[in-house]
Amino acid sequence: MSRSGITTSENREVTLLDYGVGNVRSVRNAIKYLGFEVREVTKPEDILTAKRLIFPGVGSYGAAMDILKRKDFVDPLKEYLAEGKPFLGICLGLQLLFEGSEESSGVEGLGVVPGMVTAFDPSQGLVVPHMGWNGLEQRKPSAALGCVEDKRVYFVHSFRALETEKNSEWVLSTTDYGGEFVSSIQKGQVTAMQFHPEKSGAVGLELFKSFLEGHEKVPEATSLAVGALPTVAPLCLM
Amino acid sequence: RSTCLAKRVIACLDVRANDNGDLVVTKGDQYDVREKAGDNDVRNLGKPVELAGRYFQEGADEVTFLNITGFRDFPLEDMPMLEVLQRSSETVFVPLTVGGGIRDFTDATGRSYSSLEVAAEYFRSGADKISIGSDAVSAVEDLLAAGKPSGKSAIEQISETYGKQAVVVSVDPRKVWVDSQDAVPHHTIRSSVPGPNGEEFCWYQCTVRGGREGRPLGAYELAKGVEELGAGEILLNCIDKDGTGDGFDIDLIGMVSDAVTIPVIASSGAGCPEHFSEMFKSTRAAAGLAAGIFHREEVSINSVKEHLDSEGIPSRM
Repeated sequence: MSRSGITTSENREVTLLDYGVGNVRSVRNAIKYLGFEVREVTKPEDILTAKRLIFPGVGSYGAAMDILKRKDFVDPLKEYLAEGKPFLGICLGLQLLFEGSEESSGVEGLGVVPGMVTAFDPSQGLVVPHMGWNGLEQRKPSAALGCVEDKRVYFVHSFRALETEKNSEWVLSTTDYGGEFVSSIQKGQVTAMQFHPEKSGAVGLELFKSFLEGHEKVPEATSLAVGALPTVAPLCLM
Repeated sequence: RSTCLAKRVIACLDVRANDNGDLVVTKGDQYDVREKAGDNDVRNLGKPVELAGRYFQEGADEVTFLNITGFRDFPLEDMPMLEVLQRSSETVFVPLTVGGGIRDFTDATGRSYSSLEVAAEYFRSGADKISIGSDAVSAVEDLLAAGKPSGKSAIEQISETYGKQAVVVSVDPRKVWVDSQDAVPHHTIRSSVPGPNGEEFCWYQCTVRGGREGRPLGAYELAKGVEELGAGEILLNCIDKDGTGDGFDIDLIGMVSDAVTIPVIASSGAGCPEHFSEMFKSTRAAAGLAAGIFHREEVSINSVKEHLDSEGIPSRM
């Protein structure tokens, strides 16, 4: 067994939470392309027993929370997130981690990250949705975004989370569009991206690979810093 | 340091079945797809899946499939299009859009499908966005007649369920000259070039059925109408410019991109990288699309992007 507790047979497996709305096929394709296997979540227990979990969110905030509640996925998800096992949320899968969204007022999100998701404002001429290739300003050392640097990734969304004092420690990158917004978050093994790595070409595939292989190389600048992230050995291929 | 949204360069494949029933890529000039000289077979410019893969490798920011016979063929017979999407999405990791045939229909066995069900099949097969054409025109005509949305149009239904970013409306306008600014009950603009009889003003008339039929609706009104109904993006073609290589219709693109707050994709007429930069500098379009010049390898996607970059226009390199 490797340090992260994942056995050889589970080395190439990732659990996918597909709650049935929209196109998740591309995420599956990216996972397969990288030589990993998808394990589906069909019942709540599948979330708890997952070793790595990917949560691509599509559709509206309210509709998503509604489905998660009906399928009894909410508590298992919160539990999984609290346990600190590898988690990757994509698009709505980032937004749902917050307390709620202007998109569906009154609907509570998972509440793991402080703050609300709010709408881009088209009134000053801003084209909405934010659709296309934009950059990331990495805000803290992390190998999760190691390969991105100056390259662009694909965004498509009409709502976004803003940085506040309370959620600042979560902010992994910001992006500018009608002001600065939170484009990715990370705390421990929980990562989420507002953009779509499965639609971001070669860079996106690298991001998936980095998450799936779970290896972190500590960026040079932080190797001597206090509070640097611990190095995790690459998964042993026995 | 700050980031900014790049302008997108989109490669489009017009797909139809040839007389053998194989799916092939065509590029019609001025919407007349049948080969003018020689026999009546359709020009075969390559297989859709391979071409989509090539465009991805070459740096296309998005790939769009247009089933240009969609208004005649039922999607059920068009199942090959679903397979094109499924196979393309295995190796093409940029957004895929598919247009053509996204409407209510009843198949030969009498089974009915709603446009929502058709769209759902496309999404399940790997499409990120679906594009609606002729039906958008009737939806806006209904909207204007009723004074409010009916909730029944494909645009509304699909955007409600899948989000507006999943719904593109494809517009096929043709330029119509008028004698004065108020000559017609449609939004007119002052043309940057004079008309054949010295006209200064024109409007852009929406057409349906592959450009064959003109409707009493302007592209300006259509754009605003579909935005209200929940479309997330507009694919703005131009009948007069299609296949000419003369450049985009800047007047048209400027008019529409100023009229709405959703992104506009400029399409039709690109012949060289400079056409793209000219268009991005003079309009608020978010993307430029081309088909023929990329198919025929007259212009490479990379040359367009390098040129944009050298002109200071943000581009994904």
